[in-house]
Amino acid sequence: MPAGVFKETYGEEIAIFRYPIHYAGAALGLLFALMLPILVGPYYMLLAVSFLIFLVGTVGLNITVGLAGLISLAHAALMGMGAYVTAFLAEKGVNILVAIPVAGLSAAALAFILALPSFRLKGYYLAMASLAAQFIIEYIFALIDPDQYVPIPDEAKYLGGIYLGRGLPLYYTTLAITIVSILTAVNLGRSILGRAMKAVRDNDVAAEVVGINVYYVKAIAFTIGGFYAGLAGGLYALYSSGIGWEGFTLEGSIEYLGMVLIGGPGRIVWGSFLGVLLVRTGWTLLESTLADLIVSYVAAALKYLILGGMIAGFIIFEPEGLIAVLRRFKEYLRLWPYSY
Amino acid sequence: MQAAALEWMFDGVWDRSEHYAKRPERSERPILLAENITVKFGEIVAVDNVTVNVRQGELLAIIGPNGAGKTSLLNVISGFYKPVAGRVVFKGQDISRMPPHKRVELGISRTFQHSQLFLGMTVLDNIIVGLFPWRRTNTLAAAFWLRSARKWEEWARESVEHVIDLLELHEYRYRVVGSLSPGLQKRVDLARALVQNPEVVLMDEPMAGLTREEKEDLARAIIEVHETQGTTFVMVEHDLEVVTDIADRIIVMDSGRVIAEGEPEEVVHNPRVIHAYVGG
Amino acid sequence: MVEANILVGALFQGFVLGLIYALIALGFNIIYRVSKSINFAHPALILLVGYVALVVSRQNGIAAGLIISLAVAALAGLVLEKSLAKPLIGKPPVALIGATLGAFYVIRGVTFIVGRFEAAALPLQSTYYSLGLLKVSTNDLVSMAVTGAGLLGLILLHNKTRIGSAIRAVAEDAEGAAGYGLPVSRLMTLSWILAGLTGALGGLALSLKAQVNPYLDFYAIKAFAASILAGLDSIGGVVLGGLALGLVEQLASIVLEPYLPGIGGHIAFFFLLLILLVKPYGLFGTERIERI
Ligand SMILES: Nc1ncnc2c1ncn2[C@@H]1O[C@H](COP(=O)(O)OP(=O)(O)O)[C@@H](O)[C@H]1O
Ligand SMILES: [Mg+2]
Repeated sequence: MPAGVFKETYGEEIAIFRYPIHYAGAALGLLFALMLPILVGPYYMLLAVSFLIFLVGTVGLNITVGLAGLISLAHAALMGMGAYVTAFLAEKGVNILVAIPVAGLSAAALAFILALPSFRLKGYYLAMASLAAQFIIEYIFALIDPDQYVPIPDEAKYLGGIYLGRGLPLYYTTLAITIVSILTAVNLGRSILGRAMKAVRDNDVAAEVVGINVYYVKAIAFTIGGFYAGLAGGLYALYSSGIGWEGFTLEGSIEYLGMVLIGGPGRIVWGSFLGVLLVRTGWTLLESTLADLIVSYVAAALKYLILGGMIAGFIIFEPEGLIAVLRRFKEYLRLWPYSY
Repeated sequence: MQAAALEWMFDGVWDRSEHYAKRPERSERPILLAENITVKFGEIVAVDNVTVNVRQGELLAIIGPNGAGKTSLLNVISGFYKPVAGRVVFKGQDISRMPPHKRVELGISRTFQHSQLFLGMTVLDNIIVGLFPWRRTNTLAAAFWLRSARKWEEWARESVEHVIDLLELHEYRYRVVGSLSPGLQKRVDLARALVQNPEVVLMDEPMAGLTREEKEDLARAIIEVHETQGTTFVMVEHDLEVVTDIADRIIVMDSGRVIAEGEPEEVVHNPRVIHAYVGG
Repeated sequence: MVEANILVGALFQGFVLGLIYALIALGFNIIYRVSKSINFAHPALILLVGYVALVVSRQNGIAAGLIISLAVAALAGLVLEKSLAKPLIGKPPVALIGATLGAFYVIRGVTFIVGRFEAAALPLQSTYYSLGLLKVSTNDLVSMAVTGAGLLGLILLHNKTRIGSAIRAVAEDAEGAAGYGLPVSRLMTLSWILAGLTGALGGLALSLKAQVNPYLDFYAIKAFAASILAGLDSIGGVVLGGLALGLVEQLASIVLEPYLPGIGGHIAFFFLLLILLVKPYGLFGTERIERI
């Protein structure tokens, strides 16, 4: 803790930015995010858009899994729900910036309904219920979209004459929604609701007996996760010219879960950030390298091996995720060369 | 307009004096009644047709050998175990079918025999979640950190500081409870109950595993709350010395039944009690 | 109206598949009882067994294929216990869920490297017989025999032997069982190995019935529904749970298919949610009452 900074009110203690270094870091981060399109070419800017979309989704799942300790295996399906709702509304002539929040709300509602039977039960029942939900939603997608392609009409993607579906407008729209998502998620995490979620995660039995409505907290944690998934789905529809459900299958859900568990469960922003960077973006980059080196079926199998191995490995050896590894590394550097 | 609406939502909650209003004096009036309670686990009858009448403002101790059914009885009162028979009445209201968290909201708080803290959270957060039933912000207000969320936070922190003072937890505020000694954990546990400003506190072996000094500190804190706020205490405890020192009345349980009841002096000399303790 | 021979055939298929579901569900329940969590790696084990049997039996004959796939499954159970379940004892159940999900992927990865995502039948000659309205293949009969024997053996082992009662004691109260001097740790390992073997038998029966293919694990995931219907801590109940699931699937595909194409393959998940809604601890399961 830097010396010389004193808190005068309780509110300041849990403020998002507490020290000058926080402000400086946030300002630099924002500057970097704003300048990114200038710093890198169009390919990497699109990669960054995809990164941000999955960051929004992962932040949501991190609330469900990391804060409330509930394993959800339906996150990709809920993202798909958001994407399809956006597609449907866009088709009906609704502007995409209206459709995206609605997508979030509908995914949240669907999440809530499907997992409803399991909130009264132990956490692993939610894992089962959400798995069932994942397959049910996938099944419905296959019914309504047998060709795996629903176009998103371009007309819905305009804001005051600017086309948002491409280039800089796409990037900045996504960035803005991502920033709002992150800030709201952080606020939820530090609120009494977020603390109650952690309590449910740490000891759900006692939580109920000391006054926490565990049923409600679990339901809301899952629903909030669904909201962010839907939002990510809406953004995905903005980013793509058309959607199909192959991206919203169980594999997508497991990848989401992997991003949370590997990056840092409970560390809503930085844990999710690292998780998406390593698992999603990292794999995209690795895949294109691998494609030239090894046969395709080995590459596909390798993805299972690496992701699965990392999920299990982090749970066993570093349940706090990559962020904890980085923190230790930072400590090590700080104390170097006296680091023993 | 919006600010006014928010103020309205919080009307009264700001006023700490109301939250910590002094209770009516001690009386014979029952505040809590557990009537004809029976708890079974398969073949085991953990509690066998027990009736306990807790009077307003008293400090009632429940003693008895291990396995007597004391914890089970507390669990029934807090709603965690469903009894096969019997009912629980709090201030004239039958709360038998009420979920545990509702009973806390009504004014029955508790502590635990084995640590039931939230081990990954700080002392401060462990205590503050005790105020969950009195939260006055909704999800949206929390997400955008509106005035209502900020105000609630300040109010909650003040309430927490109050019990932190009482139980002298200042230096541990930001420590993760998993790293604290068992004695300190017991204190945090009590703090989480007291921040709820309960009318009745159920305590399950609060002294177990504490050093003599820690026991004295804890007993002093309990007596302070008991006397300044008129809070009613129901305390399951093994340490007969502590119990005879601070309890107004003692109930003795053995094998799921009440075998004696009365003032500390008469109870500890009761031959059945001595038999249960020495022979059991 | 549905034709009688279609109905009879469907009921028979439901019965055969139901037994397989039961055997696979038994694997989930064995693990739940000792580790109080759900083994999400189990479905991948089914897949692994299928491909090992396929690859080995092509080169060394079907007998070698069967034996080696059983051995691999037992070994996998052992490895899962040692590497995941044991280090996570005392952690919340979701930790083991996450870890076994990781293992699910690892095993899938290994399987696909071995099996190259192909789909093929085990090299076993199958012939069809007609029994009145019913057409039966030898593969059906063999897989019924395998699952029937597996279920009977495991249920007897569990209910009638000393090892079985020791495992039951561990399942009910591990600390208490340790107090009585039971080798809790070894009994847990044994349970994981047994679950592996159960999965192997189920996987072999499934491979006979549905060919070895990259989606075998999907059947195993559906077996969750059978597990929940029985109650996660129930052993004998899985037979009923599995059969119910098998029959529901067949009936759904006959009755609902015209309106909802592909419903047969997915009804299990609706079924699962329904059970959670009306009878969350299953037909034979009990709610565990935690202590505080
Ligand atoms: N959740 C439970 N499941 C099974 N048996 C229990 C449970 N809770 C308590 N028991 C049994 O009930 C009896 C009374 O236990 P308890 O109320 O903890 O006694 P005490 O607190 O007086 O030591 C004991 O025999 C105990 O084993
Ligand atoms: Mg006790």
